[in-house]
Amino acid sequence: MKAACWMGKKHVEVVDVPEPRILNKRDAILRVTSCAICGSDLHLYNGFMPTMEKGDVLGHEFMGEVMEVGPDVKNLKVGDRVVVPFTIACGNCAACKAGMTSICENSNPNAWLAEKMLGHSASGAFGYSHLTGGFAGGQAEFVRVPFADVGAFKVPNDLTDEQVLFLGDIFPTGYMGAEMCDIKPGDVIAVWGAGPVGLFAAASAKLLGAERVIVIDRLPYRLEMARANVGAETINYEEVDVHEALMEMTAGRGPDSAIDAVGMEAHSANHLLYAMDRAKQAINMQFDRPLALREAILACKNGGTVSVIGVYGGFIDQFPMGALMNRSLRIMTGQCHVHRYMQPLLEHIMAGRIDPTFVITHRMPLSDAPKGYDMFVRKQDNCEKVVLKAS
Amino acid sequence: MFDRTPDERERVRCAMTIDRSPEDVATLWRRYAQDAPGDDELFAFKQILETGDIVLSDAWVNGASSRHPAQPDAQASQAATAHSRTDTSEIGGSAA
Repeated sequence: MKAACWMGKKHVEVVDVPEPRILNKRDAILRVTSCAICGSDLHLYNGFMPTMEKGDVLGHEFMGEVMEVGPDVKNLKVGDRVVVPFTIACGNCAACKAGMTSICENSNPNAWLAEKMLGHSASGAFGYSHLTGGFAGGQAEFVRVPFADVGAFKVPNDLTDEQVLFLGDIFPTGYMGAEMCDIKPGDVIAVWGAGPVGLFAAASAKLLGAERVIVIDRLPYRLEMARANVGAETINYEEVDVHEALMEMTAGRGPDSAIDAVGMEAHSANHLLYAMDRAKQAINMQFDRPLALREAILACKNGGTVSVIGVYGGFIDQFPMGALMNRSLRIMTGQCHVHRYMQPLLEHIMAGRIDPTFVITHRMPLSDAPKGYDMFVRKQDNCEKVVLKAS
Repeated sequence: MFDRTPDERERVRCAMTIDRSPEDVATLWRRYAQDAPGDDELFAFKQILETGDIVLSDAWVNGASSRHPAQPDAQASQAATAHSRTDTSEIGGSAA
């Protein structure tokens, strides 16, 4: 079968690899119909995530048709059309039973490796390094889905792939980012990053009752998408000072909550700070570039919530702990517990309260995955979201 | 190691919950594990008790003796049931 494989830094190839088969009793095999390139895939592409191996099959946003199920999968049958969460969860451990499936205790076979870096392991994940289990990803014609009885989510046939594909990651991730803000009527929510997750966070904040949403980015076409599709106000950080602009827009108080939808590869108009962060990252003095996170913490109103859904991998320098502590800020974060959001967000889609397809700018066959990665990382042709048709 | 009666399994399972102290867990584990307890064995045991299986990485099925890409297995008859831990220097890995 064809699969998009990580072959090294900034090097993706679509190559022939063997087809997957059932390895565990609760596995299923899917024929992938649609998959997508995620912003967090770019962290792999750019070489910032450790424990990648040449030949790893990429992709954690995918959906498809069930082709085969293991003997312990009783709730799926061949032919079912399903979307799969990017995290893998057993459904039986204490974390899963608490609804926190992204920290499933049993689904990462390489938990020992994650413990070395993170203290404890999070869940396994598809196509996202060996730190999360070394599972093959879904940018392929077929994919093995461990714990399919818990993860594979059946979707109605009257909805298109593009309407439901993002239930596996970016829509729930954005929604959780907004939900963690505990939004009250009248709240102003600032979102750093107008990538797909940032746009879904902004849209979700509106769904949850925010009065105003302010989206911060540097790319005019992305800010236009936020204005046109979400009704957000926008700040281009290359044109104005973000902190000053936010204070002006909120009468000096700051946004009630600040959502970091950028993560480890943030850019900044502050060229000196950006250069310092890049240099520290290059020599492993810090793992991530937390420019957006610092800005979000400093801008958030006293007693507000900083919601972090951008991906971070390790350690950061110059973290404004003093601002957090002295200003009674609250940090909420986590990889998305996708499983618990799929049904309620599907209902939002079916009710017409949101159409997730608004983020899609490019559609191409799986064979063009290398081109898709290149366009996405360079932000060419106003690229916001690439959907790959696998079959 | 996994050939236990349901009662014994339940006692060990309970010992692994967050309601027990680490000392209780260690004591019970020592009592019930025939071999010297190790993190792998404990993890595998917990997986079996809670999920019914040991979850296999796609990377392992290409062989357990060295590092492999996360891909479907190249040789279907050689599914691995265990992996060998490589040196932790791989943290920081080959990404660059």
